[in-house]
Amino acid sequence: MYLKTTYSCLFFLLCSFAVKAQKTTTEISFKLLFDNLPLELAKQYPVSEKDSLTIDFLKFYISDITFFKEGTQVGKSKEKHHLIDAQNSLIYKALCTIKKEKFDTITFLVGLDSKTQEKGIQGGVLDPTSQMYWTWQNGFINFKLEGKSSLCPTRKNKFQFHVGGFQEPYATSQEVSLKVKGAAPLVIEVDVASFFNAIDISQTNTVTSPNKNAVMVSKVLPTLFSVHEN
Amino acid sequence: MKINRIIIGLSIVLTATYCGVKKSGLETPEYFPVPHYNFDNNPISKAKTRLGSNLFYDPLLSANNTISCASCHSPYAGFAHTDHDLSHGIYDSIGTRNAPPLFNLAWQDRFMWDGAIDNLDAQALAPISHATEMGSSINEVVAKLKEHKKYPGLFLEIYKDSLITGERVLKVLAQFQLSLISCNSKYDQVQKGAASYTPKEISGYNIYKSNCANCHAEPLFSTYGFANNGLVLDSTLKDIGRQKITLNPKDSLHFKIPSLRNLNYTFPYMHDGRFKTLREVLKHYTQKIQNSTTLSTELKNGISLTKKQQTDLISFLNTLNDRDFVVSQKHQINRSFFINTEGN
Repeated sequence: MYLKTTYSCLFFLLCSFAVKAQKTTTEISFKLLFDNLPLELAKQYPVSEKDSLTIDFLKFYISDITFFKEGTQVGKSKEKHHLIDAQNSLIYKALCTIKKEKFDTITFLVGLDSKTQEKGIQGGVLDPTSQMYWTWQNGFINFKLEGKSSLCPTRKNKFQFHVGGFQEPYATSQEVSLKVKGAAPLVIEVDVASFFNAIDISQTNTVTSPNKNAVMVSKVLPTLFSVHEN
Repeated sequence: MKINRIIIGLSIVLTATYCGVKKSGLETPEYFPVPHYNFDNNPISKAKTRLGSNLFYDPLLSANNTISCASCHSPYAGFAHTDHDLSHGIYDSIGTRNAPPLFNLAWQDRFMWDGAIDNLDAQALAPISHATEMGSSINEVVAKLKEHKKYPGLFLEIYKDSLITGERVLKVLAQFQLSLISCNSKYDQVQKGAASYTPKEISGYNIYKSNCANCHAEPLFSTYGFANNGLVLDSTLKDIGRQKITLNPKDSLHFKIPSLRNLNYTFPYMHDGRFKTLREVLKHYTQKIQNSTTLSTELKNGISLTKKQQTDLISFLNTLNDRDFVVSQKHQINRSFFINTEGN
């Protein structure tokens, strides 16, 4: 009886080692760019012969980085929520655990899921001192981009995009799904120039609450992300 | 044997239910409903509530250290701002609404007159950051607390590390506010069988039940929903209420339904404090309802009350004033904490 129990314990122990052995830790990087070059805050980027724009602030959440192989989940990031802040660093690295070395798809959310939003005040990267929690209403801002452009007919030519909102019809977190060849470590490029290719800031330049414009802008965000594989 | 099992089973269920009520850590009467607040995210403790109380009364929360939460939410006014139609904040600036009273907050699911915030923990961010209230920011508050003579020690005592974060500040503030429970008015005494109404109060209670109870439901005396109660739009404020938040025209002129508890201490009334007396409020409901597409269905046909009925109703409303709550020492400023903290 005892022998049987000991054997089965040993068997399970070996099994758990076998499962563990398959897991590897890898890094996934998010690289902030403007027109394929490293993003520079406060730099004047020409957008036409006479107009230019500068970016003063860029901060956004990425959640639930997940790896798939033929539709089956094979890994995810260690942390659920990631806050990418251009003022801190132009490269953000997230530690991920994957079961197998090969994967063909990576998905993540630009912003936070509604469950996190509903939970309200939390710590870590979600702490309200991150300046990503709205003060005049509840909810986190998913994506914050601020700057100036001669194209904007606003006070001091400012543009402000505080894209947030998690309740329908103004839910703004967007899923990104990228096909990859499957070699880790992986670099995901975030090219902010794509934002200005899609949004005409002479028309849409101030989005600071959950509304139709916020949803429209949020739908552009997945186009900023692409995979760079060697 | 079987009976024994049933008894054991029943006692387990009863204990579980009892613990469920106790889980909140709040002392509440049996006839109060289950609180809305999620205590799992912020388990109540006496030490945190005390720390929250210190922060609530501390003007450090404002940009120039002059305005505390209690400046507009005074205990003697049922934690409202008495005698000002629109509340005033930092640098003598005037806001756009009347600061609502703070009590029985665990049973409310949306805060502010327009329900902009659905999470009590997050609520304090609004006044801390608003330019006409405290004009500061949570980052500035956290930075000041870190440099303070006393606060780092208090955080250390509670959290076993002296880390002061935005989350901790907001959650202890919420704990103090959750502790503000008003449940000892004459109405409550009657509920507990410790007092009885006068004939006038009984008449008023019946008038309340047939005219007011749909929106101002017992025992909290509000559903804490939103409604258009037929007020004429103030042309200087142009406040459309909840529509500003939901962007839904159906919510035009909807404001949060306030509780009828503690009216004696919380005047003036309405979101913009336009009525100073209950008589004026009743005059509004009986004679001045402004019809519109979003008017509350309860008010479509108006409310008709004789002068005597109005007097009786006010007698009943007076049974909802909880003097113990407004004078209770446990909600007042902890003076010893604020001695020798000048200069911080």
